[in-house]
Amino acid sequence: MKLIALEGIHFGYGSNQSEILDDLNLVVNSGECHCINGPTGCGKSSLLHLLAGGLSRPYEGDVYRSPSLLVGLVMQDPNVQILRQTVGAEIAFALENLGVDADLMIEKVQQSLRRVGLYISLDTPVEILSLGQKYRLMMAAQLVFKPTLLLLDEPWAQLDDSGVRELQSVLASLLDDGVAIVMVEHNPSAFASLVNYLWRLEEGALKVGSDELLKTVVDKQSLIKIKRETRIHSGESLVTIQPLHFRFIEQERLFDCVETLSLYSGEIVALVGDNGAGKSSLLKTLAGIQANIPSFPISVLGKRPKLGIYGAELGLLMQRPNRQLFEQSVLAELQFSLKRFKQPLSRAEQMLQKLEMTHLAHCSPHKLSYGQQHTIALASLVCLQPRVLLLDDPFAGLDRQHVHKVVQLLQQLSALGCAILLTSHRELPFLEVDRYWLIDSGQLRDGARVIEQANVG
Amino acid sequence: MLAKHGAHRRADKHAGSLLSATQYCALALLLSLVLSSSAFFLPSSALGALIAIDLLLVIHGLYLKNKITALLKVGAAQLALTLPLYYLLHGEAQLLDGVIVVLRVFLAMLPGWWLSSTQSPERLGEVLSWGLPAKWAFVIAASIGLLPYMLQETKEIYAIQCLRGANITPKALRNPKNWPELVYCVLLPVLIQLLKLSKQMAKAAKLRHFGKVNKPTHWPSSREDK
Repeated sequence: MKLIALEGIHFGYGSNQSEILDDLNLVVNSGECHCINGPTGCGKSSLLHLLAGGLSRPYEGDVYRSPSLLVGLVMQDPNVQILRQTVGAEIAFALENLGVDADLMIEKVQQSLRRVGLYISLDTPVEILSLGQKYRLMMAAQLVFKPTLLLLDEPWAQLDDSGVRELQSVLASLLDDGVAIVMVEHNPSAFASLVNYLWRLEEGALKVGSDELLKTVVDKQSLIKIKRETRIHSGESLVTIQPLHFRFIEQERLFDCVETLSLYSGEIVALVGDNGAGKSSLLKTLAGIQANIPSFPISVLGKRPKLGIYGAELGLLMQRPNRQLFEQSVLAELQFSLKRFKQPLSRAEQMLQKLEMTHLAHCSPHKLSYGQQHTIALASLVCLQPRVLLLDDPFAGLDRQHVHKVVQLLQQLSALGCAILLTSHRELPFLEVDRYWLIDSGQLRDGARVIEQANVG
Repeated sequence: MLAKHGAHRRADKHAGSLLSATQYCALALLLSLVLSSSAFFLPSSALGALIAIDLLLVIHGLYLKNKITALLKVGAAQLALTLPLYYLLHGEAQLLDGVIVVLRVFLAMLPGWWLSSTQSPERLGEVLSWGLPAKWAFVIAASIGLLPYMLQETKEIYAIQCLRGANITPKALRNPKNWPELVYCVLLPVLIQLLKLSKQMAKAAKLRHFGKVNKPTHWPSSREDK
């Protein structure tokens, strides 16, 4: 049964800009799984919002919606969809708006929660969930009202491998029940067994995607794995974590560090663990900005971490790095820290040249695509040539082109002797790292070079 | 945070013996409104009694393991801004008046802190919907619910910009020359985030059928997890 059909859609964000959807056509029937691939900023999220009926600007073209169409949408960043403070109330929001009797809500909410593999109390505060857990919570918040079309924005980037496996199983059962799924995904191979139609959004229109994308794990085929040629190994340990029980004050431990871990000058180390394992908290602790923790035997650049003591020697890129952008132009954004730390401003222009982004120098950083903003935020730190760089999930939501740029930046910095620690849910097939640190079964340990093959798909 | 979550449950359970959580929330809302209004309308001679009552709210809030640090910082910042202005405009003789003005504003905010830290936004929304249209009640409740998230965002953006070298550390902010940096490095990005977030939340609410029925139902306040 035809649920929704788009015919000759034209859409753009301004009269002076080219259309991001240009004569786009798509038909979605019950029980079909469509996967849409394409570079960041090409209009994939706008297409999802159009399907959801929530596009804020006018468009041209015809949209057919079946009377039985009921749309659920999980956005790329689940934080922006959260409306309540506890898990139960969040999931029940749609039921309240549909006038479902309060007595029937609890069972429906619990069923949805279990369906996405979250076995937590209904009174759990949403704020303590990890990003991946929030993504699953938002899935449950859609499934509770039994949508006939489910739209997903970048699920693979937000979920760890067990989360992806659980999502695959949920999606398979939804498809069996006749629910249609449209997902935007940089890594279609993770959902290869489910996808009926693979599309590539190019020049505003949907073109049939190459089956190769379904066969190979993302980016492995992109040949961006670059051998680092020059590495400075001074043997100097810049970060040392001694055995500790990592926990927040008055809370249970997140993990134990059972051996002394060191990060040396010029090394790239990936800290890998599931959603909620404590990766982000550890990174913030190393930067001296994590509140509500006891004193830990951790040393960064020979000092106990504290905000404001490292100057230009330490950089931290948090998740959603576009939050830090505030200047009027990209060039000013790159020059901000250089000015504050009295370093040569020419590095900003050189950086833009290296990234082949000189044409964006005078653009507002707020008008850039997600991938461009991400790259600029990282570049503003790389310009400083810090001795230690901490990156929280730096590849999340990036397409191949921007992953390539980020990898290049990291390799250049590593060659200058910077010690880089980055977090990820899984092994990084496109970046040659020196070692992995694993958080697994409540233990943080050095995983050496061998890591269990974790990529799903 | 877990402790706070437990505290909510304790508060519900404690009140549950006599009142339902929703009735308890309604009383708390009424008390907060009365106390906040009193901070402006009572004569200065009666402020002592109001402080004594508000102290009970503070003790209750702290007992439920809520943090009052942010509110105290706001109060201290107000005092630091207001007193020099009073000194410049009215001279030393009027400084006490300045302190009383700041005290009144602080006492007006304090019941709001207590209310938002002991009552869940959805319960407040339910109470507000008794007298307000459901959409207004949702907007007020969602705004209250948004405060902790925006506070956390502000803290993170502040930390990021400090690490980037912005002159906004507590020491740097002693110099008023650096105050504009706090505005455009932290407050501006926070404002951008807030605008984006409110737009996206509105979209998210609409997609989850917000406004579909005139009288929405409410997530039950007392129940057992199965």
